Amino acid sequence: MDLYNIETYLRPKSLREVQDWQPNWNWLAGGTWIFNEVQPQVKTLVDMQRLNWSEIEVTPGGLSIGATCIQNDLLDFSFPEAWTATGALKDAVRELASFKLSHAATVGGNICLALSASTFAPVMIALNASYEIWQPNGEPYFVNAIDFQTAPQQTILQPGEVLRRIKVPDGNLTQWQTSFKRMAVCTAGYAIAIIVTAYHPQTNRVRFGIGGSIKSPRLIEFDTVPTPEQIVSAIGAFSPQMYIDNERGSAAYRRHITQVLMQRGITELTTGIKGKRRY
Amino acid sequence: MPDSLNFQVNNQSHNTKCNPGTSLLSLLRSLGYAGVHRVCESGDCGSCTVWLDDKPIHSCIYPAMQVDSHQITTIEGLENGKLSPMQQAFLDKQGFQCGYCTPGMIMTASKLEYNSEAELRAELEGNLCRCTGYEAIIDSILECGNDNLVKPITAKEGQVGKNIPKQDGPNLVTGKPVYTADWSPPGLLHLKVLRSPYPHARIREINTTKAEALEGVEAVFTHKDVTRRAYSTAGHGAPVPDPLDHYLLDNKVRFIGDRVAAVVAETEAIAAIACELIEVDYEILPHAIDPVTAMKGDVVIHDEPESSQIHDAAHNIAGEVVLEKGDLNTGFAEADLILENTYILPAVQHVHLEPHVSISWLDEDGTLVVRSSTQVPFHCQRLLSELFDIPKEKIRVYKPQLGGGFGNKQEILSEDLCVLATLKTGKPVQWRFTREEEFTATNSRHAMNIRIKTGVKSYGTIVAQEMEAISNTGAYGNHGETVTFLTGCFPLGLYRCANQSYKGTVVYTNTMPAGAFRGYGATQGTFAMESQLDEIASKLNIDPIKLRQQNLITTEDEILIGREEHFHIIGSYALDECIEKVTQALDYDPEKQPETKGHIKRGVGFAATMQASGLAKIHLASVKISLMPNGQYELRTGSVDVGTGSDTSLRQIAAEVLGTTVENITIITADTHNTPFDAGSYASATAFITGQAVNLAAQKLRSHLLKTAAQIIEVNTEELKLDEAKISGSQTTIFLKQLAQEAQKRGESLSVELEHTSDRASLTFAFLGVEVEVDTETGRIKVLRCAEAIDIGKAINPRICHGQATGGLVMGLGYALAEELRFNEQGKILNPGLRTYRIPAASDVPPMEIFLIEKADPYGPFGAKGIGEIGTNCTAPAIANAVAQATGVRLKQLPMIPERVWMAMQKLE
Repeated sequence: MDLYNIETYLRPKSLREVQDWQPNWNWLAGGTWIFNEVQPQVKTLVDMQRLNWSEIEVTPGGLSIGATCIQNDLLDFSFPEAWTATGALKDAVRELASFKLSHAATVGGNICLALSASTFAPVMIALNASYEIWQPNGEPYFVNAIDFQTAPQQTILQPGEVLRRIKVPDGNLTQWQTSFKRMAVCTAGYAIAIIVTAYHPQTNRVRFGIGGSIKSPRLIEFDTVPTPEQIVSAIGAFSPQMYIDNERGSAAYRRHITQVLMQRGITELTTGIKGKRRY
Repeated sequence: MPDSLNFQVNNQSHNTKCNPGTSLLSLLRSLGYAGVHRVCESGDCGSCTVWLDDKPIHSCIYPAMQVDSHQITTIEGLENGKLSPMQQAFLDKQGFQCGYCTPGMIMTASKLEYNSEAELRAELEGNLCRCTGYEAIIDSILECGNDNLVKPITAKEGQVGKNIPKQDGPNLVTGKPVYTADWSPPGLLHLKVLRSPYPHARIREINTTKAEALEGVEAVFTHKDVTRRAYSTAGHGAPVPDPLDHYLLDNKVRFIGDRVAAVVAETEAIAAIACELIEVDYEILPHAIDPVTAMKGDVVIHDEPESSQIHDAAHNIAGEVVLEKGDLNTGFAEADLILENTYILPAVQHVHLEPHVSISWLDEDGTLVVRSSTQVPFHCQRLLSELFDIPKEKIRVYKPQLGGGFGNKQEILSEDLCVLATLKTGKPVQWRFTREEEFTATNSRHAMNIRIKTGVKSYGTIVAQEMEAISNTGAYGNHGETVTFLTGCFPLGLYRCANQSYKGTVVYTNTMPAGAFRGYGATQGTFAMESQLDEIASKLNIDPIKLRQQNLITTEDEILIGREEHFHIIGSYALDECIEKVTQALDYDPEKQPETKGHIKRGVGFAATMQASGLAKIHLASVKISLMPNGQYELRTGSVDVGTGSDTSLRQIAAEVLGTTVENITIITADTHNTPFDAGSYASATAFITGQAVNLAAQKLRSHLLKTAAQIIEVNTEELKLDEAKISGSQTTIFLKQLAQEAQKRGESLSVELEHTSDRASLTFAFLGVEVEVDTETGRIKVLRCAEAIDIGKAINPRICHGQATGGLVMGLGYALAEELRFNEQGKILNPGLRTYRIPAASDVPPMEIFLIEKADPYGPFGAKGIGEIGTNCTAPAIANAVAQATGVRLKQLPMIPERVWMAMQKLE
């Protein structure tokens, strides 16, 4: 939709050009979120396209994804064959929305928006990713994916700070099998629970990235394949206040679905019988 | 303004500037690419799909500023001397109804990769259609590239009963500028409304100085600028049955979203910003969201003396319906089983893809012209005449192509302030609703609580039915009583029972008004009644089909309760055949136990319904049909094709009677200055009433032509025969062109004009069955397949009727499983967009088998009955009944979202 309040449009080629960050400024990557609802508080859009941060790189340490990487580029990219866990990245793209949206939407945009229904957040947590953040002065620092989001639509980013790239360690990509499960009120629309399960068949280690049902995404890890009872008890460790309770779904139901999807995710990976991504 | 943008659209270079917050959609529309349609404005529906460097994107959420140095392709760029294969496929398979989603569908489908129909449906997640039920769209895409030569149907073959393509198809698949907002007179101003942030408040003071001072603002209007005159937005014929309780602009607001003030400015952006500059001092009043609370009368929503036709304003009761027959006590005393339940039905939204939009201006001769997306141009003309004291003949209202309505465009919501602004400024004004306004400031289906108490004998005969509905009409009473009347009258009337009573209470609350919506109250009542009977069957251990058959009315029964005179009658009746078709299609075996496989359970369920064809005695249709000097016919009717294809059906009727083909019938419709009066498109009336008017007028014209020809060629009328080109006797022949020219010379008119109302409204019946799968761990219901049979009388155009059936069925699917306007305690709607208010997508739709059962009705044209609404009624109860069979859980609240299903199963355990 048209954003009537926008007065200024900046297209910096480097961060140095946007030193004096104002409270009514907003980063603009693909725009698919910003242009989807009124933004009465925003007067200036800072377009990130000319920063040229859209790379996908395979490095000895692992995978590096530039913040403004178009989501569909992940679908087309040829990852090393051993990196089986990149399947979860592709699922995050496919489960975002229509394929036309992910022609424009960026990976970093989805992460920084920090909606509870983010499809990338639980993937990045399951894959043990870390985020390289640039401060306004250009100084970088790293934060673990798990520590990035503090509440729905709130992150640790300070005004003027920006996500530069996402790094996924080689050790969490190689040989890990993944499954992506989501549930929404309807078959499409905002998820009320997303479970990304990563399973290492040789070690039997299991990492669950949990999103959608809780206020900020979380990790649950197991050294061996968990029993249903272990899943229930692990979820029991979450305080009831951690669950989102709103008109889309009650806390009790979200908790129940979280557990069902965890069970389905691990069953799928250990039996090898591929199930659906959506329920 | 920032730097200019250089880009190409359809290989044409553009160099332009725009405001930095502009979407690509708006930029393209401003450059004249009208085939890019504005619907959701949030990237959910796909109607604005264009290609950016050959990749499809949602242009509504793409920043225009990023288009620099890119190549855009719109629907207008697909044609290359001839239609693209996908456009041709949509035309051949008629993959559209109203056509508003069509350009986006074609732009998306042209770039899809898929290996199966299921994959295709999944890939279409970002393209929503509200009319078709997706069947015709999927058929079109699957057939793309195949040579489907569509042969014209000859006069000899006959025109009625044939799948004649919709006449607007070529315009729709090429994205021609045919809808209301696609054209406007020069010097257009734009109107925006400041809406109330409070559910109930009096406006103490309103200061518009700052807004008026903004550059580009032409005028600001508040309640101080209008005559205080109560009216209804309902769009009914006079005398209107609704409460007169609405004002152009008022000193009081009654729901979050109610109108406070209107700004007219050079652009929509300026008007929107100016709205925020208006300062309002509200005296906040206590409010009531829940009808039961509202009825206590602690808060009075309409306390103004100017409002009238309100049943009991002190208790917020807008209207009341009481129907009685026999004696309930006697009935219940005879009963072996008495079952009482309350059913809860939500407010849902129409989601016609084209929003409400009107443009008004003053013609050279001072005529006020209103170009509007309306279902009722003539009622609109009358209302505007009353509101502004202008004679009707000085007001012209017409509708271009309509992008869907479903009842919400029977409401007169956008024309009034547009006209106010044009009259005050003398300038052309457009008012286009945003999607959020559609969700929060138009109308919904009435939310209802329906209690039914039923007494039955142990062998299944119903002996007493007591039904009570509390109907939430929101802040205004438009359609309240008439909708609530149908809630009781059709579902109760469908089953024979000597002792019945119905009470419907229509209650004002401080929420968005409810209004007309396909199914019109019958939808709500059908859910309650069909669920109730299914539960009774299960309690009595009787096959639910048998129980219905035992109690359904037949042609011998008197069908209505409580009113001495009634107009609904059984003209033709094929409900028994409908039941047979549906049960056969689903291989229904009453002995078969429902299947269970792990956490998945399967079951089947059924529902029946009836709906009238039009409104007897009051729904007036006039038509004029003429033989033109070129030897072709011209048909003029005030009727409105909402996108269904009724214009095509009407031409088929005329062509059949006149022994010609539709190509020889030009139709001019829905224009108060150029067509005779028609009540408009509502109440499933167009085929039955306007269709009959066309039938009668064409017959009259045929006689007149034969008589005139007989005089000219001096033979007896009896020996003459009319065909496509000529009138011939045994010896002589006169071509129609000659006849027309000869008549012209003699000063004789070859026109016939007549008016028609129907003394009766024939009932259409329908029966639907579904098979569902319930995931008992999550509560998700999946409909595996369904079959519906509609007792349609005669299908004038079977493919169009089929589209009405599938579209209605899928709208019912949304009502059953997904759709619900959610309110907070202030009555604010929490899901006013297509991302949070989900309507069915192609992948949600199960395989559908539709049977059009043809048994000619004595009162409709060629035996036809109404079909526009009935398809919506049965889906929800059939699904609920199937879930009950599968799981034992009876769901009494819609929509049956997974959480509700899961909760109900928890209680069962």
